[in-house]
Amino acid sequence: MIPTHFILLLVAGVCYTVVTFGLSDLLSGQQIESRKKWEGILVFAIAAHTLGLLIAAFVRKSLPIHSIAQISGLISLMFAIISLMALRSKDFSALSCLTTPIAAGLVCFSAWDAMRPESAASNVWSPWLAAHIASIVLGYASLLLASIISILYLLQSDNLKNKRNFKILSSMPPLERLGSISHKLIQMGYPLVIFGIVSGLSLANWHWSWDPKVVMVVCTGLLYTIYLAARSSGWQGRQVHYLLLVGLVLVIGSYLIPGEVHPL
Amino acid sequence: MRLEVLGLNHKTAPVEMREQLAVSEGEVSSALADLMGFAEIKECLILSTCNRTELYVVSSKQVPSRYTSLMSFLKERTGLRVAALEPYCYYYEQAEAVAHLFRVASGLDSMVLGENQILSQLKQSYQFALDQNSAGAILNRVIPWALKVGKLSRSQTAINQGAASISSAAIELGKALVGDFKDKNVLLVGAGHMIQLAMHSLVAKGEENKNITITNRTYAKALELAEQNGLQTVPFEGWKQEVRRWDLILTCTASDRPILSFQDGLDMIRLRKGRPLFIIDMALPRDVDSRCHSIENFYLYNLDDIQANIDNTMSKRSEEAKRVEDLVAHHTRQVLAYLEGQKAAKPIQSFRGYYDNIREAEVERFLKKGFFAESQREQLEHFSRALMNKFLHQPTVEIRNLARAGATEEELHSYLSSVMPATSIEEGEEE
Repeated sequence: MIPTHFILLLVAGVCYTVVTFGLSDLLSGQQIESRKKWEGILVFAIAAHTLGLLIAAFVRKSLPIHSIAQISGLISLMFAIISLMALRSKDFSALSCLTTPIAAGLVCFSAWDAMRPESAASNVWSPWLAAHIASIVLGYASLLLASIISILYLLQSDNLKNKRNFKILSSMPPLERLGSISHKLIQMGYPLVIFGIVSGLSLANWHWSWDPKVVMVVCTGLLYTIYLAARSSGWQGRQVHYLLLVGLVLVIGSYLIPGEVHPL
Repeated sequence: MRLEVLGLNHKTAPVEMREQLAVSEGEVSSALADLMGFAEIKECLILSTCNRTELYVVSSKQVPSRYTSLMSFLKERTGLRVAALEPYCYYYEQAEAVAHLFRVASGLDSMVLGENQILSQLKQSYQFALDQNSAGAILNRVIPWALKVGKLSRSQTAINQGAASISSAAIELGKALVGDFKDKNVLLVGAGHMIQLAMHSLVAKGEENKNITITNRTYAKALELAEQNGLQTVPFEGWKQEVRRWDLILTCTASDRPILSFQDGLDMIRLRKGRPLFIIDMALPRDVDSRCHSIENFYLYNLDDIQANIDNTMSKRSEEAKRVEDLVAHHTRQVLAYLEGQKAAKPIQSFRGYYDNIREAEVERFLKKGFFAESQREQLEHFSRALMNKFLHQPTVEIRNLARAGATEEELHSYLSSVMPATSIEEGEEE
């Protein structure tokens, strides 16, 4: 029998995908018709998503944080809420075009987890593990959002350079504001990720292994260290945001790649 | 009473003709007096701006000479023959005149669609008419109504949204590029007319505007403007070195060659460590080497880009014009109903006055005969007035409806004569 929470998460995923296509015009500076309709679909999807996560937690009798797929359910919910807030905002609506597909992808990933007969999740539990998971999840969400805002920055600057469409100016904030928000998110997420790495090493009794996930997480930390160093010495502009695009690849890669002690 | 308008504007007449017919502020009083000199003109107002001169009059005669009177007024003022004036003029009566006035007040008839200035110009013209006692019952109703329609069209539609002049469009573009100017540092390069217009849009009057800096080759001029408007200054030779300070630069100098070369642009971006630099160049010939736009993080906009922004605004305003036309049509219908109703004002007044005289006489008679004590006068007055109002309500409504339906004054009098004899019946009943 198909579990209820699987159906709910899948419905949410389908809704996020539909909204993604419906809002795609925002990126080119076009006004979208029936914005309320898309908001309504998002609200419905978020409700289904939340209910699905609650039922999953009830069925498993544990919080959905024991595997990457389970954690994806939480991160995708955060991104869906950000999409809704962005869509309702005056000048950040274009952000929802980029956060909704991420929510769609991650919720489908977590729905796949619901169909697995037995989760490969670790049953070991400790306050350090909780702190490790919480800091990595929040840190990664911040870095991911910062990189998405960097995509908006590059799109906006491309439009300004090509003078293609002045209408787009009204659907996105000015360049400097985008740069500043992205920077603040990294300032917020970076210490959390560093804490996550340190707490992870502590959980592994300070034993370094060439686990691909751990290596990529450390690379991600290094890249954002370079970014922060560049910003603190005054560097701004497109080049800095290209760096964050590399960061986006690393964040997604290091999140999804399976590791020895980090089951999917 | 009929409302009429005779005039010419930027659509019907070239500037040379508009110049000849323009009525300056100093001439308005005498011009209004001249118009009031015509026997058939009961009220008048002159609206004279750089784009139009219009004579709004309320006349009493139902003869075709009204147009001739207005034309002869223009002829006397300009010394031109009527045949020379006629091709440039338009003339509207009643419904068309009201609709035209409302379209003018809404900015639909303006050179720059939806511009706001016409409202204050109409208000000023009305004030002149009030000062000269040339505005009567009709204009005192129609002109404030036109001002209301003008305000409504701007508040209920987007007819005046967006910038329509080079300087304001440049400021609007600047706002879109860097956000609210409150916490942004802006540099103005130059001190000419265009920069001064932009400056006036930027500065808060009577306040220190420390986030706005001005520079000019003639430094004394920059200092003078800075002192008048609470701005900061920077020497012309030094502004490029201080480029890190500014979020937006507006430039418009009279230089015949670029004041900012490609190499300057590269140096500036290096100094800013890649921080985006926005420059709006309003000068012709251009102040900034156009190749600077190809430098990474350097965003340069010139007059063509500003014009594109204005075109965008105008196309949006054109879309809104349909909604304003609907608003104008709605209010025109209301004013016409009011004007038609006004025809009934005098007959109703005499009709009710007739019955009121009878009522007062009867009150006095009843008091005199002792049917009521003097102390009861107030109650008696109140009762008799209420009774009269009840009886006269239906005929009054009837007269008003007849007037609104377009009945002539003769038809109204004919109706009145049919209801007046009823008084004798009442008198008989009293006896």
